[in-house]
Amino acid sequence: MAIVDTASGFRITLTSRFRAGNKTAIAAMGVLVLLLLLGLVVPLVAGSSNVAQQYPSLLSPSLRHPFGTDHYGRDVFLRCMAGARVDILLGLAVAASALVLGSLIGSVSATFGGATDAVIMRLTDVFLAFPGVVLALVIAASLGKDPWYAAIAVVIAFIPLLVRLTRSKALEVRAADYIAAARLSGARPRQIAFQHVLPNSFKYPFVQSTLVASWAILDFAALSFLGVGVQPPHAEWGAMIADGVGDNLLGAWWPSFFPGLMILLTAAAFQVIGDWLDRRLQ
Amino acid sequence: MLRTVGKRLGVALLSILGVAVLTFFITQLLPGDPARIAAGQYATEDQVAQIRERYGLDDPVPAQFAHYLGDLAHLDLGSSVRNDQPVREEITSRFSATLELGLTALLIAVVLGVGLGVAAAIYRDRLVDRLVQVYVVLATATAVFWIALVAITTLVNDLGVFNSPTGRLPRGYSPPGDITGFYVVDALLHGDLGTAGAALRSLLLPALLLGGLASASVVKIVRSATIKALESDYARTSRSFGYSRTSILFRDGLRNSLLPVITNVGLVAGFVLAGGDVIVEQLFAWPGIGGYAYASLANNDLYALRGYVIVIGVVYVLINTALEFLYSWADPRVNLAEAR
Amino acid sequence: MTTPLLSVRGLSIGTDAGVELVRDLDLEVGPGEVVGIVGESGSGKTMTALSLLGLLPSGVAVTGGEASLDGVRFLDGPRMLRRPNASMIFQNPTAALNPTARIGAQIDRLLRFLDRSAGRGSDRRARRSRAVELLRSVGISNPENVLGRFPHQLSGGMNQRVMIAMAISLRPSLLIADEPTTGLDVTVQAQILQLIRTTVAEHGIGVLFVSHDMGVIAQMCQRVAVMLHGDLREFAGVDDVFHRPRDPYTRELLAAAGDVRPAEGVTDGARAR
Repeated sequence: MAIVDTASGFRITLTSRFRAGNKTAIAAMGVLVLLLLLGLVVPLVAGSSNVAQQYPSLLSPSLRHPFGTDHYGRDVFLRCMAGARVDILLGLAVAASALVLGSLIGSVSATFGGATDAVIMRLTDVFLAFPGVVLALVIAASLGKDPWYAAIAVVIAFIPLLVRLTRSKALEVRAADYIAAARLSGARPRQIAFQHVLPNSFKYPFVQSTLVASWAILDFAALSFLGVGVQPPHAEWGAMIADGVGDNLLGAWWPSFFPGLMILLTAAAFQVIGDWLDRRLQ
Repeated sequence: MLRTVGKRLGVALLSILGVAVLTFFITQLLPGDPARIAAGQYATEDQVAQIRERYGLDDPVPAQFAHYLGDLAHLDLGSSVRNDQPVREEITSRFSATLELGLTALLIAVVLGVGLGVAAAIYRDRLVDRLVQVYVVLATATAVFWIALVAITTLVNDLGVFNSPTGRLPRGYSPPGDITGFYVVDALLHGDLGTAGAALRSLLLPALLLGGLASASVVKIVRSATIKALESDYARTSRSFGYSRTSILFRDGLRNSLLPVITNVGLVAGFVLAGGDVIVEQLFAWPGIGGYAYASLANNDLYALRGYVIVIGVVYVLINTALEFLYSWADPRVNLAEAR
Repeated sequence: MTTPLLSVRGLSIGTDAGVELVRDLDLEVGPGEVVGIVGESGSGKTMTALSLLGLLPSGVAVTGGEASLDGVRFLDGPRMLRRPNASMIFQNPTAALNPTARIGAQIDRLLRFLDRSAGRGSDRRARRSRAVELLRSVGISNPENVLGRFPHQLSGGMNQRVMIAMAISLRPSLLIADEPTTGLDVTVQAQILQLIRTTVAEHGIGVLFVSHDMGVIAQMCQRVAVMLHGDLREFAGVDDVFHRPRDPYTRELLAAAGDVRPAEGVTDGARAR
């Protein structure tokens, strides 16, 4: 419970609202951890899910095959779990890389200012002149069809966003009163940069990167769906959906339905956590 | 005023140049070999060399770049590796189809987004708000290719609510005479209600999917902006005068919460015209530029894809420039000369 | 004061979470009288002012007590029985006006609302000349120009004049002023205070004047209520509060404010009329 007497009147924040958010966020984290654990453990126990024709093809979901089997006779549940490892780790890795690179470039831009800042800002402008997925798509296609290239492409597509955010927050923090106070009390510029500006401007890009993880999973799956990401027969949710498109015409909805549900669950979990962190921060 | 407009247009032109340069950089200079990618996995060295020759890939990079820019200045996007057709013609002939789908989706996204966002703000922290929040998370986290597939399976194949995904018209209909390029509008202008209805039914599902997913970001922005506006000092002033809730909602709330929507429309347009559009057009056999990009990708037709990316980049820059003008007109506090 | 204009009895305000912001407050304002509420931030003075017009922010509500204006009860515990014939001016006048509407449109909206509430016809041109007249009456010398401006294009003092004009056009019997000059330049502050004084005197309007500034209170008020942490510590004539403070907290406030005391005996009434 905090009551703040602001210049424009009273703002009241109620703790009860936070508590409700807490539960959802904890549930979301639970979902992610569970999926990641399953993704790491299940393929070890069950063996490679890429091998075809272990079971009859296109069995509908049952107790033995909770998500059914695909047209090569592979267990869709096992493949979904193998995909969990790929997609969740990839989402985290993309978010982390974009966060590190983006905030680094952003702080450089804010710290040096002048020509450096101008060049970096014009560059982000150019990158932001494309819709993100389209940028990732053409980069991935130009590098060649490979999951690593696709991942790099997605990272590149998200960097400008984080550069912008870090820079504007760093400038905001630098202009804040307590920095002026630190400066007046004789703190050295480097001390100010490391003790005040960096930690305080870093938390916003950090929260944003949780959302980036969610978008990255969607974008990466889209690239795989379009054939420039993970290549068959490897298990990845987007590629699995692409693989299952034809099965729908045969009345088999499950090979494409469950991987999409996995994407939904994971991306939603990252969204919920990101929103929660965002609210905590304000 | 004229000077600021000129300056703004200058910035837009620079951005377009940036788009061209970046696209060249990505497609020609990244480690991937465009000729090898274009030739495909099973091509012989001879075939690769042939493509290399034809597209001048053995020339020094500055010469290639000059050539590329010269062509662009003449609005020449080169020709496709796959079928040798000029890319510009291929794209312009498909553009109105994408525009019809994209604008309809955009309209749906904004109307749905504003409606749900305002409802959530009015019933803040109550059931309506909770449901809207769930919708936002789900729509943001849904892969468009998956939901499109699910929708086609259930709504089209099983229930028959919508037309089969056969493009802009069901089988047995012929396109109306070309006036605006939008089938629904053109059919109406020709007085052909049957075709207009059929075209609308074909348009509705892909537009709803794109617009529905894109509306999530609009909802988020409208909700928080409306809450902010309704809790603002000026809304309090209005309450102190005794104005009705409706008057406060429209004149103080909505008017001020629509401003951030204008900035967001650019991102939404990026999704409905490009990102989501590539996939949806493919799945619905929609004969637009997204489907063309998909086919180019599938056939390793890097030059056709490059043309598509340039067109999308330019359209995106133009949309965002137009939105900046709209924003400075809608918000008196923004001075276009100062805003970057 | 035998028949008070505003009478507040046992007013309590609290948050949904159960925190008490104002406890059992008694207050009154006589006809044409200026009564001050003074206290530091968090004392509950602004909440008291806002509660009288039903303007409390979400999550905060009146939990008990009642209030009446002109002898008619309008507030009964958490229920607002009717709109009191009162209007309000606020701290930060620029934020109190809609940023995307011109001053002219905002005044016009109010005048049209008043015409409709009164059930009389309303004519655009007539409203326009009334708006010009209103701005003149609050000392704006170029009303035509101001009508075409947006709030951010005007100074804080000018916006507060506009707010006063709008508040007065409601023909209230009580004006609630919440820190109306805080944040304004000292010279502008003096002008606005003078404007409030002359305007309320001219129309015989009672004023509830909320401020943290003892100096401003001394200049403006006939009676003063001192609040601390939601409690009323002292409510007395301005001479008594400044020259014979009974409450230790009042003495503290005075000591902190320096010499802002009005000359004894010249305050009551003489200043307001």
